Amino acid sequence: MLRYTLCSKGWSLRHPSRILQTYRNFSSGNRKYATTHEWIKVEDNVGTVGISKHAAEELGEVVYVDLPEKGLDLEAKSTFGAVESVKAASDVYSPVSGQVLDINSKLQEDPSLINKDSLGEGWLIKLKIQNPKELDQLMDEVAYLETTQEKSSH
Amino acid sequence: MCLCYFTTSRNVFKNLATEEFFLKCFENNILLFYCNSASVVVGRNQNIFKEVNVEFCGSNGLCIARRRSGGGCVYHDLGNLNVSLITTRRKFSKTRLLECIQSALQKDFHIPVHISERNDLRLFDRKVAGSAYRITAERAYHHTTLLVQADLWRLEEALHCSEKFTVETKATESIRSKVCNLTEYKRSLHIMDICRAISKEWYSQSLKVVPEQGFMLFDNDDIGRLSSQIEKEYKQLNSVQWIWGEGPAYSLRCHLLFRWGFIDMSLRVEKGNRIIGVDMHSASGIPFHLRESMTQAMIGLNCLGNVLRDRIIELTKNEGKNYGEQFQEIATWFLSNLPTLGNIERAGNINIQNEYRR
Repeated sequence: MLRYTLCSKGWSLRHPSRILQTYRNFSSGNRKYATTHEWIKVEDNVGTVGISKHAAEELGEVVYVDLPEKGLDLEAKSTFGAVESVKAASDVYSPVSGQVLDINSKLQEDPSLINKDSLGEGWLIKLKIQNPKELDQLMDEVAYLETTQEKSSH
Repeated sequence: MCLCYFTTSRNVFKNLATEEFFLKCFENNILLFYCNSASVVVGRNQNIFKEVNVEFCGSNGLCIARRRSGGGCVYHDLGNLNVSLITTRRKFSKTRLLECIQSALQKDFHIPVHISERNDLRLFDRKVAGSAYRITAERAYHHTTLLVQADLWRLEEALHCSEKFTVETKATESIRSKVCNLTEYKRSLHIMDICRAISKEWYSQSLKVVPEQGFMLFDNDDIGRLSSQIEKEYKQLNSVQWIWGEGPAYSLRCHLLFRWGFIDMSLRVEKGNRIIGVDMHSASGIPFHLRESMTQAMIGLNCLGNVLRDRIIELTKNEGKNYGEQFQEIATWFLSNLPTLGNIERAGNINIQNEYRR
């Protein structure tokens, strides 16, 4: 979609690639995605992990979330629990290696937080990151969204 | 290329392990059929006490298993056919298998089953098959249990919470439905004929030429000879840690009634099946200080009948020596009403770790 922007010279057409650039800078922040549909957002070497909006929509209404114990050491790409949605148990995988610092206990009372706000209140675990370089192997938001669109066109 | 297999084993743990093996170690689409001898299978995140009459299963030789897919509790016996469609995650569909089974039953046997909103198969208003799913990074499966000629009386007796307990938990609950067997509609049905019809229908949907053979037998009786991966799955699925410890935390309110008094207590059990708290709501016939000793003694133990029995008997050697008879009866109550290692071992060649004896 073409957009116009107001600058000192008046209204001008924004080049589509610049829109993409702006989107990239604005929305991805420091959120990265794994091919298995988990996201991770890092602050001060602590990564918050959840599942993507796309994954939450595909699953349907979440009825139970099976989370690990605090203190557990996870390897990148290993499974740390499962999300159950109307008869389907879907494994969730750690995007990077780390130690589980915290789990979202609100999900025990209200598992549907994952459907309502998968990128925010529906977070699953917090990890102490062991190897920050592993984050470079993950996708940014735009690249991840492109992969989900490819899959839906199959 | 799709492969159709029927397993030779009737052991629920071996068959679930075989399913996991095909999920994790193969790339092909696989249609897997299996039958289990009398057993009850709970969903991954369910509480066994809430769903199953543990005492009935123990005294009638039914195995209790926990599968890796979601959904509710089901009864299996040799009159029940399990069908599992294992594919890549990309090709996963919640309905494709049911559509195939529906088509096969209609074309070959003129049984008018329909697919419900909850992805069950129904014959008029009765459920004949339920569904459950498991999704991993690369692969997924949809499996269903088809009631052909199952023992519906045992199903009814096994699939409910015992009156002796009240369970509080966040575990997923089963949705109860009225069920019936396919043979109530068509008497001369045979499980093998149904398998042939389903595999023929599956092949005709996927390939241009339908192989004459239909399905092949997969010998999984001797798990150890197959592969270390399938043996590893088997050991995990039939371990006490998985079956009794994997479910969510729960609170088990027990009503113990004796001729000399009663005890009304709750055991708070964490995931992993360890007792983290005991609340004695009321009791008679046991003095207060002994109730305290009993509750303290139970904390940290595994919530298994023989474990609690042994601990209560120990108390009679010291604090409880003047109340030996009462403590003996309490110990026997736990042994009779909670799952015990004896029952679990008898049920399915369970791999007992030493810590569960404490």
